[in-house]
Amino acid sequence: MKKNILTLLIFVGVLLIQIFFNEYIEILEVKPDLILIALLISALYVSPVFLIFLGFVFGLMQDWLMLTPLIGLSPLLKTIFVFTAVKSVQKFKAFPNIVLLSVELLLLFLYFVFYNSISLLRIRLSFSNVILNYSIPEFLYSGILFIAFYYLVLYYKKNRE
Amino acid sequence: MLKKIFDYTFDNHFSIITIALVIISFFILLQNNHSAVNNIRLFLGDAITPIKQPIISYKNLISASKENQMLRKKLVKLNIQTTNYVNLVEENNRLREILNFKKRSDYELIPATILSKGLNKNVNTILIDKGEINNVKKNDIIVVPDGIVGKVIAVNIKTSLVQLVTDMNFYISAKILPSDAKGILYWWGGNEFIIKDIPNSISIKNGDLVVTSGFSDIYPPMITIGVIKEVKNSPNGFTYILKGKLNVDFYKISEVLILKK
Repeated sequence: MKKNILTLLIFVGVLLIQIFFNEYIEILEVKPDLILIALLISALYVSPVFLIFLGFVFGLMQDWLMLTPLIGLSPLLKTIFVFTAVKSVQKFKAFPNIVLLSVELLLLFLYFVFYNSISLLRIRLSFSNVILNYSIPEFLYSGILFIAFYYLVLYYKKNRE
Repeated sequence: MLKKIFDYTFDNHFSIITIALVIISFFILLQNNHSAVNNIRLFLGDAITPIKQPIISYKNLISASKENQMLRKKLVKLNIQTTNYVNLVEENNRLREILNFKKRSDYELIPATILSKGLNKNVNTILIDKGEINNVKKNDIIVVPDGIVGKVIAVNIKTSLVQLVTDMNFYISAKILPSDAKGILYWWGGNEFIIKDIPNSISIKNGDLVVTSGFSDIYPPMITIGVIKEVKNSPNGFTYILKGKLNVDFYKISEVLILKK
């Protein structure tokens, strides 16, 4: 219970950073999806059912507050994303860290591919254009942040033990 | 039987919850055009404005010094241009009087700050800090000195939601100068736009200026949109497919002007 409240508070903090300091964390017109990073890291420690609700609710909050192109797309993809992340964590938990990290990075990349492909579907941009100009830059920024936080949490956990 | 259903539900509760949330998300996704969607956005926009406004103002203040230097240089160039324009305006007025044209109505400009530009690179709406209390109305035009930005699609007390030219649903009647060819312009990804169905008997070349045609009730004429950068013949052989670059850099704008009649 205490763990869940703490996770919820962290998510609220992450959402507030995303809302109020979005323009400050932007690099070359690319902004990281902090909620997605938080979900991916939480998939390692938080209960799956609680996490899937977090994915849906905070995805929806992001859509309402961040002026995303399609309202409902973030909760939809984040719900599926959390489901896949939880399943992959269950499957690859016994494997070395690097395997799990690679799988999670692949999921992160797929999220951006699907998100941008769907949100840009109606203007019929070529798939390569969507990948090169939208998905890869967003994945790189969010991916680097994810790796940094992933090892930070790992280091913190090891020190605590 | 009931026990079996209960056991199945209990065993697969994670998957069942996932499916339920996916269905709800689909339902929300299908309601995107509902007016309530914009109303909720504006309500939340109004709620975050008191905190967000000082944060954005501080950021703008930092970049103001650089912008000031750049504007000084621009001002010198514009002063030189103005001298030439004064002569042209005088000549224009004289010719208008001769032709008995009505004098064009003036527009009021209300400055506004962008509060939110969205999360993704494919930005298509922005939230500005002016609303009903500033006399902002639906369909008011948003511009910057470089050209058209978009139009107001929803207004709340202190904030307004602006649909950008880079929105998939944004269409605008445009005119290409100097040929005067007219067509419907729409966004084509990134900072590009496309205009189709212009007869290829008209002479159009790269670098030609694209402005609003004035055919619409919403957009006044002669507001800069962009420039032509590619002229291609369409497969039917009779018309052009024109690709162009929007003048406004949507990622760099932090302040806009509301154009009011």
